[in-house]
Amino acid sequence: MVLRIIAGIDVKPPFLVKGVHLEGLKKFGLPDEFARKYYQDGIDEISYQDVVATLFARSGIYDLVEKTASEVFIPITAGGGIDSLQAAQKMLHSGADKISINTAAILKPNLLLEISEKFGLQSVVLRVEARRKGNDWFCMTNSGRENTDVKVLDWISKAGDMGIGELHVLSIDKEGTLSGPDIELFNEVRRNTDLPLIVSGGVVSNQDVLECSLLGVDGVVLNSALLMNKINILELKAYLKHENVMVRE
Amino acid sequence: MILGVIDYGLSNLFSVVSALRYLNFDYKIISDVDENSKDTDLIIIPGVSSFGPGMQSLKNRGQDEFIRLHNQKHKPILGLCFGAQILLQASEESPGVEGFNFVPGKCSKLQKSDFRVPNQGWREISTEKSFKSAFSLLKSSPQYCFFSHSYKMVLENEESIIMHTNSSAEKITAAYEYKNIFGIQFHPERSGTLGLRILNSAIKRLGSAIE
Repeated sequence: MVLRIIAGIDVKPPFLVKGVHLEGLKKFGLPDEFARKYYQDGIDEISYQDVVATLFARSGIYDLVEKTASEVFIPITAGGGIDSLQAAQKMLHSGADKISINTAAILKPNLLLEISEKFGLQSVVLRVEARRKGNDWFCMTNSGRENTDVKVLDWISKAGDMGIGELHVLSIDKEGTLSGPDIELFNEVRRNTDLPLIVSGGVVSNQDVLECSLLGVDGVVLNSALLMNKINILELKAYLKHENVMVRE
Repeated sequence: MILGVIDYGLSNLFSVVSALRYLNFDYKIISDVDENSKDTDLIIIPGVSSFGPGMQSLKNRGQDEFIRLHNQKHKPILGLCFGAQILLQASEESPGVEGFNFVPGKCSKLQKSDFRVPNQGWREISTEKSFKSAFSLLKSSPQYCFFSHSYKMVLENEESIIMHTNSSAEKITAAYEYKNIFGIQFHPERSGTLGLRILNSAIKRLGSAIE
């Protein structure tokens, strides 16, 4: 299986933003320019997250997705504030290959099935924002702003039947900290589902990516690591290849 | 050469059209079949859809007849993903639904033992020797394209298979050429510069038959 290296880009339209634990968002420039650069550097996919969409009750990245889809010829995932079939359709028609849903899925799980029945399983990504409390991880919503009492592992166990093509688990505890991934979380999730799984949060080195791949994840999303130049995509792929991990060349 | 891209409401039209623009091909989008559609030289059927609903959408817009007439005149057709599958006879995905049956073969479900289903991600492809130079694929290092599907194409004429996936127990048809038809299982418009090269070559190859 080829490990997918994905660029995670958080957006507060029209800017690329980055925070820690998805808080304290700072502006870093224009998202489509970063997407273009990562594409040229050999990234496998782009994943846009509109981190204020649920907050402001509207998605503002249709134009961004259109622009990127017209100049970057790799799969694009877009998420943030998608809460209806119409919103999903609009995002897919703007050029997204997949839509990512978190908050709306927890409020009305049927939405996922509705979307995948119309557009196919492969177009639906369930995003899970996981925060640790004691021995469990709980789901957060609204781009890391609200807590729920839904346990991540319980939520995921239902995921298989909910009409999803893939699961994206983000560690809120590690997100933006560049302090290494929450391997325990990813391991637990991997053991509890055989859905395609991509992970993110805290990954800062080539070794971190290797560690995730050894757990059996299908892809790793890099956000701060790319933005802050901690990881170089070409070097990462050469390193992984050397360690016998298949990557797209 | 006039390319007509079929818009049946469900596919990833935008990505395909973006790729055509990038490659400097003139195209028009065919939503309703009218006087304007008549001079189409090459039809492109893009694809992100399931077999049954996709065929139904084509029928609802009268595009199925348009495609059939086009094929009767032996004019070229390029099918991408769903577009490639619907040109076959049938698919296990939608029992009872007939495909166009221009290409002998059927679609069957991918087995979980070979892949995660859906088979979604970058897979290594192998190209038949005779096509390597036609598609500018002479590089010897591994080549990867982006796949996203749950059903595979099983063709009756195996010589029609010009590309297959390389990296698993089961080889999957990645691309076929059958008479005036070219089908690609992966998404060339989403497979980076390699994909764009393949798309470019496929269109030029189909187009050369027109003159």
